[in-house]
Amino acid sequence: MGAASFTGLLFLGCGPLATVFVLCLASKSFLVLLALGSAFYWLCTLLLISALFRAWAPLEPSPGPYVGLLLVAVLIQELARVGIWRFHLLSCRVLNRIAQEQRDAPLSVADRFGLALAYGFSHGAVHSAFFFAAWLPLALGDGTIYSAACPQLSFYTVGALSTLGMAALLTGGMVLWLDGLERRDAKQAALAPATHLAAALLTLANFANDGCLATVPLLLAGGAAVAAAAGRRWWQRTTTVPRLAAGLGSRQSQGVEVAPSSSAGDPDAALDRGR
Amino acid sequence: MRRSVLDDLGEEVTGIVSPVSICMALTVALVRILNPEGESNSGAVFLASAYYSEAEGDSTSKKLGGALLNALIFIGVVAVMTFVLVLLFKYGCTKLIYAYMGFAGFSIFFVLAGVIALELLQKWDVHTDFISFTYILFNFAMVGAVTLFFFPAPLIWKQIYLIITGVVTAYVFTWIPEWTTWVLLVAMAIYDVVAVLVPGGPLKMLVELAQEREETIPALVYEARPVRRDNTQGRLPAAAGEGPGAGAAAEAAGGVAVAAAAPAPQTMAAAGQLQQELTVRPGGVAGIGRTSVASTASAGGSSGVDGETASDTPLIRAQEEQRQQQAAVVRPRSAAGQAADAAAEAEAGQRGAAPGGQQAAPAGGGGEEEEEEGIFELPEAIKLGLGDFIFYATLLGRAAMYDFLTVFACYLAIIAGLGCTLLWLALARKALPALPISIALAVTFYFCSRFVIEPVLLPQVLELVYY
Repeated sequence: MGAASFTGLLFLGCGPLATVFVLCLASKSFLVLLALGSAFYWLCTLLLISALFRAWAPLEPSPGPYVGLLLVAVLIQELARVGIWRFHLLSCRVLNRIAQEQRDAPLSVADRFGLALAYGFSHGAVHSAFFFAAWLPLALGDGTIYSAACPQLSFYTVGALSTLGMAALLTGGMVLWLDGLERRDAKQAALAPATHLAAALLTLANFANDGCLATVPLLLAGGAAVAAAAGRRWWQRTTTVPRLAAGLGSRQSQGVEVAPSSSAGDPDAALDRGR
Repeated sequence: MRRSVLDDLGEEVTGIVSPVSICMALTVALVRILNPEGESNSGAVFLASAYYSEAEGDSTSKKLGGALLNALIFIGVVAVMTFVLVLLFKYGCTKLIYAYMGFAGFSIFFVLAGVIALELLQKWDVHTDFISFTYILFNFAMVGAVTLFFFPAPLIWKQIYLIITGVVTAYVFTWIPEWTTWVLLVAMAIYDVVAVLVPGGPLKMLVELAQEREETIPALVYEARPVRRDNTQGRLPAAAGEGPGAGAAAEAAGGVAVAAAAPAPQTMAAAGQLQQELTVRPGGVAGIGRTSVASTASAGGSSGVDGETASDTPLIRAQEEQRQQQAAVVRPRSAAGQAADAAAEAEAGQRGAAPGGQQAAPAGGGGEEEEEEGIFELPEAIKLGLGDFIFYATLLGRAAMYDFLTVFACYLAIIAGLGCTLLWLALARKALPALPISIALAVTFYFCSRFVIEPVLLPQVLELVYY
């Protein structure tokens, strides 16, 4: 396919995630280090999942065995997500102590969302790297690969588009998860594991003839929806200041829209409640 | 609006992680461009295949036994060279060390980098005449040797040339046969621990000598750009003279590393706190910042990590440091750099461009332990020996010869290991080896990703099933 196809597919599959990294994470060293550390954590989950199924590898190419693989994989990764939440609580406490010592501002809502984005980015990046980017260099050759069930789109094109959707879903899902737990919003927090499981099981439709023509747009739409929900939540939380005093009217207690500010919100109270 | 704690937390660490990542990325790129089939050549690094030349048809036991003996010979030569360096340093023969370092550095930039440049030009079918190529290469090599060892230069130049040295040497090391490479990496990691931590280890002796004399260790060490603290936002109180004065001194010194207040204390404090949930005492972080810094030196030229902290750098200290640095501006190679030099000399000798058989002067690790003396506090920076760069990049280059799944896994493992080493540095505050944790994790994850992850993941991905 050549260098042009390789480059185009790389930008298609990994470009948006790379943009998120450059715009939101790269300027803060701690977030970069956090992303690298949690990427290693997600790599360990991949290793654990693979180790459990290594004895049966390669699995029979039919939906049945892969249902088990996907259920176990999503379960393990969602349990790992709980570990991320515990670590997030610990790291916020420590960072606030450091901020106090340095006479810096305590962690703002925007800072917390930045931390959540770093965790989510690492999850999405590990998925992109190991499910797509690791195989893309093979596209530099003269030929390409097609799945028997999907002759319309090459293996690399399906991989790029599916990776794009999954990475957006995983990144946004982590942001919603951590914010939901901080605010004890179970519905919001449950979105992350639910959408992860749904997206994983959706890919089983690729076993059907022309199934990729449905799964790819659905994955992209799902990823876009979760990412948009996360972005909307980010905007809402960083631009709304909740009223604190008792005795205020109900309209006032719902919060007041302010100009976008990175220090809006009452994160410490929310975090303490989240414990 | 007050600063956020996230604004500059961890900059010292990314100052080391970034060049390590760049070095590894460039090495992987070179391997994929120039050696995509993963060929090996026992003659490329004579020292690494001195006893056994690996062949395809050899049995597993023969390959393993031969690789072990090769590794032992390599380690032995590196150890001898390091001890010779210690002796030369002990008896004040630093000019000899620096002279050899300069010659070795010039050889690497002129011969090895020149060969790689030629191969790239041939690969991309770029036509260049001999005279222009030689002129440019000669200037490149001369500026590199002079910049690294003899004359003060902007820190960024030194950093770039150090990265180039690491990339070139690591690429040459990727030609070592596969079994020998893996065994050698493990052996170097073990030697690193022995040389740095065991009493009587050559690098430990070198670090102690340097501490006694308060001299720079003769080694090729990558120093991260120091973080300049802006003290206008309510940070820890710093000594007088910080800020513009120090900055001006730094500018006057041509970019010599002189920094203002230190983020490293906070970074190390953060690392320690994340580890142990310590209760931070008032001024505790400042206390950490003002105590002596954990530094690392590593064996085989892979130095360890050297962390320095300072809360402030008054102008007088900056000028004093400038004089010291100009006096001791020549920096010999680290021991792994020495090993690389020996390999480079052999390589250059084979190509007829330089006399072979010269023994590279043993080099020490790259760590220094520096202590505060009154208001005099050293600029903060984390130093990592060039040998660490080389062996990390060699490992990743070897992983790239298999596929990119192992590359990504090894990269994350190396960075995780480096993070653990820096955490260890923050707690131990002394010279530490930087190879063991990273190499152990990376080797483990290479084999795990090759034999466990890939057999499960690849068939799944080919069926377009994702999670």
